[in-house]
Amino acid sequence: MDVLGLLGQGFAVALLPTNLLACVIGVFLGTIVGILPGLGPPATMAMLLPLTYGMDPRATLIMFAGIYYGSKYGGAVTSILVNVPGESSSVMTTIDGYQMAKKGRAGPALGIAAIASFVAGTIGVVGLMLLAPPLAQFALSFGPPENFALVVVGLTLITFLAGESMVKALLMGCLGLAISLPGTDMMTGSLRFTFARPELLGGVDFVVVAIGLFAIGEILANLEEAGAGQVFPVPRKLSELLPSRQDLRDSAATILGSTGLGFLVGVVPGGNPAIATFLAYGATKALAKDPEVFGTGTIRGVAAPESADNAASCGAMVPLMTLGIPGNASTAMMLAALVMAGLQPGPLLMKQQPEFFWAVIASMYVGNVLLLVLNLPLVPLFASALRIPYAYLYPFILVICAIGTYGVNNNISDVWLAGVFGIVGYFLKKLEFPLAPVVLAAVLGPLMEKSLRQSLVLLDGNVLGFFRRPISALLLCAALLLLLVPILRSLRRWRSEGRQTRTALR
Amino acid sequence: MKHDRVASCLLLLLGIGIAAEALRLPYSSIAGPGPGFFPLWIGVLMILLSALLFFTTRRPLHPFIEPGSRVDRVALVGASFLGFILVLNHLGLLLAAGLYAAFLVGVVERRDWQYWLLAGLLIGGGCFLLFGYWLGVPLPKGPLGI
Repeated sequence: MDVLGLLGQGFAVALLPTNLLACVIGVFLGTIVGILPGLGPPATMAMLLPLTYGMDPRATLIMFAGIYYGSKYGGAVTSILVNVPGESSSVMTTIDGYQMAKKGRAGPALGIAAIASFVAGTIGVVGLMLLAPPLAQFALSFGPPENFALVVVGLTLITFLAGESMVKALLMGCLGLAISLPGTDMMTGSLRFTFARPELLGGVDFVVVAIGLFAIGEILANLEEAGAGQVFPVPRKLSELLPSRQDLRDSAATILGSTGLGFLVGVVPGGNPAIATFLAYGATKALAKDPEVFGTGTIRGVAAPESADNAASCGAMVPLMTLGIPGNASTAMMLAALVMAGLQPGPLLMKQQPEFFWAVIASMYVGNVLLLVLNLPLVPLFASALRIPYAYLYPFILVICAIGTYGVNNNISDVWLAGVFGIVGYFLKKLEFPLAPVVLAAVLGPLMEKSLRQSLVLLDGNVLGFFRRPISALLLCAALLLLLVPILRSLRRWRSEGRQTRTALR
Repeated sequence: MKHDRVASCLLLLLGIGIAAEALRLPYSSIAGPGPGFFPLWIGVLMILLSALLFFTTRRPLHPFIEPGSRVDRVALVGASFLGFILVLNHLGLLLAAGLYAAFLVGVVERRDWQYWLLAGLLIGGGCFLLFGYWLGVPLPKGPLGI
């Protein structure tokens, strides 16, 4: 039977009332989970896993996929409205999304997040459907050197988040890497940087860092302004609460490019989907004619990470469905659900139970449509939440931050850490240090260290070995180019300013 | 002294601390790079970058405290947030949250009693319903069992 025929069968299964209901529940739950910081999709799936025993495995997987997708959009809502990235993959959305909200454009930002997610998810599902087997082989060619090179590319984006001072951005990157150090060494099992504190045995969760620096720090900075009554202007007209045609035109190329990039990065097993968002944002800024607007509230700065994130979610399903290798914690929970139901994802699943595989593909289409249908009408409602006077809004946000950080590990120490990071974040903002590199490096630090150490073992300590492997060589050269772009731009600007000065003096 | 120089000194001290702690860990082993490998290089990089910042620092564009800014409000909210965390385990998160919200609205923002009472009830009660009841997130409980 050809692909379309199989897909049609898949839709017939996905649109069964029970499966459709599972999808709606999953998308709804996922959106709520994404909005609430500290409660991620893996934790939600883990809580629901025992309840799914006895359920149709297709319905279970469909619901979990809905939670996974829904949480992506939910993370964007808090990133844009209150500068709190609920997931690591929402960090980049805060940079321009929150600035758009401050300018009274929260509605268009939320709208473009939903639309970009829908388009990217749809294209990503097509990619999954058509390219899964060859992409699975591509995924297998990624070893520790390639993973390390990919992370290096991600970290070079720090230079694009630098603002005025590259040194300050690199210092913040180092701070983020340092934050990822405490805990149990992943290769030897020994404790380091725990200072005999049991709370540090598990390390510092990035959510704690992000909530502290971004949310609490931002609130403190806002409160310093004398007239912080209504921090954000909120338009009254419905048309201003949704993206305009110009916004859609401006974002179209960004969405398509970021989708492709995000999907490919998502295919790599063991990686972090956040890398896709970092790369997409950096690439969009690097290729833009007006890179200086990024960070000030440009719609492309929201479209890029949101589409990359959703596309990476689809990409992460490739190693799961074709090889039985989960790409991240969320797909690991999906794998657990499948194994509990007596199924084994892998190359044989597509051959022996094609109706299952295609039902999941079809439900991902349905999930995407449901995300747009459920969330787009809610955009004006979400944006209107900013009409609440700031005097009542920030106490609510602070309490939610405390509960969210407590919920990460059910540990009061995380709340203390978030408080301390909040105060540190406030001072860093005052001193004009960029905060995004801290969180970016804190997210990527563990993966960077693990892949670097594994690579050095694999290559017998020969660093040149990275350049003898084609994929890692290509990625490291790309990282070098990315590092050079801002330097070359500054040189060009300096030369043209010098020329103008000399012309004026003549 | 310029702000960046103070910041660079603090970060330099942090870098030295990280490197010193890393030197107490094995740098390498027969299995490959040890647990001290990565932190040592981070510490060294931090030291170099801090020194670079110290010597290249420029005059800041804005004063550290702008005239007319409400630094008092920042200090009060920051300190009270730490105080809120301190009483969490004793009062229970939800009661502490309600009282904290009421404090912020009533004392910091100086709203009338109806508003701080409503804020405390809505925020504390809302969080209880959402997290404690609906989502079943285990939260610290106080003497009232909530």
